[in-house]
Amino acid sequence: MDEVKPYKGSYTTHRVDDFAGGFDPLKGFYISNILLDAPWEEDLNKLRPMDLECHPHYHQHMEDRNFNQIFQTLSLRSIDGEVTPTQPPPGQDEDPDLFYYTDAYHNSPVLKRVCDWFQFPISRIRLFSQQPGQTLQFHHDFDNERTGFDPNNVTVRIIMALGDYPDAWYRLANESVDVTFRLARGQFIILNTDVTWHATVNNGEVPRHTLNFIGKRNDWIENLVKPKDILEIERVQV
Amino acid sequence: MEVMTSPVRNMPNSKQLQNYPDDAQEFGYQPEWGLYTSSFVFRGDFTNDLKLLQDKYGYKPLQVTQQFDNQVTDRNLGTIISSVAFRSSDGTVHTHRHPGDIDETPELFQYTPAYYDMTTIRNIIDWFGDSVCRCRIFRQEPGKDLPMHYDFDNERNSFDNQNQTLRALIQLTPNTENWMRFKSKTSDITLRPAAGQAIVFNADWVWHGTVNYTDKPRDCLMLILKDQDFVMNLGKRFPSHKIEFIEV
Repeated sequence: MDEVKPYKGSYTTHRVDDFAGGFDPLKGFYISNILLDAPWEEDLNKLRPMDLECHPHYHQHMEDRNFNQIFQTLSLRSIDGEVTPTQPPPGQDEDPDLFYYTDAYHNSPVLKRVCDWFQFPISRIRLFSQQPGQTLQFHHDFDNERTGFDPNNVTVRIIMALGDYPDAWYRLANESVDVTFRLARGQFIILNTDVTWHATVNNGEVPRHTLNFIGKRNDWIENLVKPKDILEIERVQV
Repeated sequence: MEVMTSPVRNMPNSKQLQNYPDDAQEFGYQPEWGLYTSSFVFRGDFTNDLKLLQDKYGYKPLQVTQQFDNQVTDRNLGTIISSVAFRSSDGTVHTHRHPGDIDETPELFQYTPAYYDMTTIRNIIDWFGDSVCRCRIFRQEPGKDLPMHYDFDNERNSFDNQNQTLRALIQLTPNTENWMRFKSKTSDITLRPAAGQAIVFNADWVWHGTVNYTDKPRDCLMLILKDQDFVMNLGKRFPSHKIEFIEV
């Protein structure tokens, strides 16, 4: 229990400040108590996601996961400023300064507000549309492998649901937690995808749309995940 | 190009294909600090059982031993939670408390008449086998919130990590706006569990809180379990990311 504040037993009362655990960006994940809300459906309906173009180094993983049959994607921020979804080459850090907003971002006023709400250094933003009936097997990604797992330069992903999809599930597993859950519309996950095995299922009859951000851990994220004594579901209009 | 292998449990690097769960044997639920929410869902009609509990037995405010009176006052538990027991220390439906300052073990408890009256809920209780200690309906009243906190089940066994007391929660009423938050050592999880989905955790270490934003009671089946290997193996028994339904 070395990382945890002293246990306050049953003869005392306790508050959330007595606990030092929670989201560890090097090992774990955060599933938000915040739900963003805005009328983004009109923007969403105008976007036309497509196949992901993968760097040859990662082809084997794309094929192993059957990625383009499961997902169609489109970039709102990319390494070349084009909507075509691409990846930086292996060995290249997801340095936010190297990426550009695309026309899809500039022409989607509501989704743009949503993207701008996330105050962390962002490299890529993509729309992911998981096709009906498709499942993505358990896997992990390689964002932090590219930086040699530098603890002072941690790349995290944020996945935000753009709808309520009652038949779309996520499963995340790390060294101590194994959770299967559904996201509510506007709810999001922050995770280190190198160390968290993750899988998704869409048993529904419509595509499951999410916004997927890749960026750098910062103080904004640290503050965002701090819990209060009272559990509140915070609904944020953007 | 040389790539580094992850410092976490030797996960495969980008030059290697991944094979779950073989590559992740050391991953998954750990009872002391972890959280498990199931990829299986108990599916059945709980309506008649819940109505019978209300009509025949009624719910009474959660009862605790005197040692925990401070917690009841601090969290205002008397107005938030009520209960009816399926398994209790004296075999009656309105005894909720543990019999003393000793470890909680299954042989200390007896099934109540409410257990024998159940048709579907009883099948869930039986699914968990012989390690069930106390078992009851945890009813969260409409609009009531339980703040982030922990409990003291393992304080009674000196936090023996080979003999952990774990809690399982299974929501039985449809979930529209019932949320739970869990804070483990590595992760912070807010979710709206599906009716019939099982949640298991060590309530001494994993902080937890819940809100009921609806105008209806939220009824959960709560079991206190004493077989940590059974629970640890759930992830391996149900390794797929696909949802499995268990008809009860």
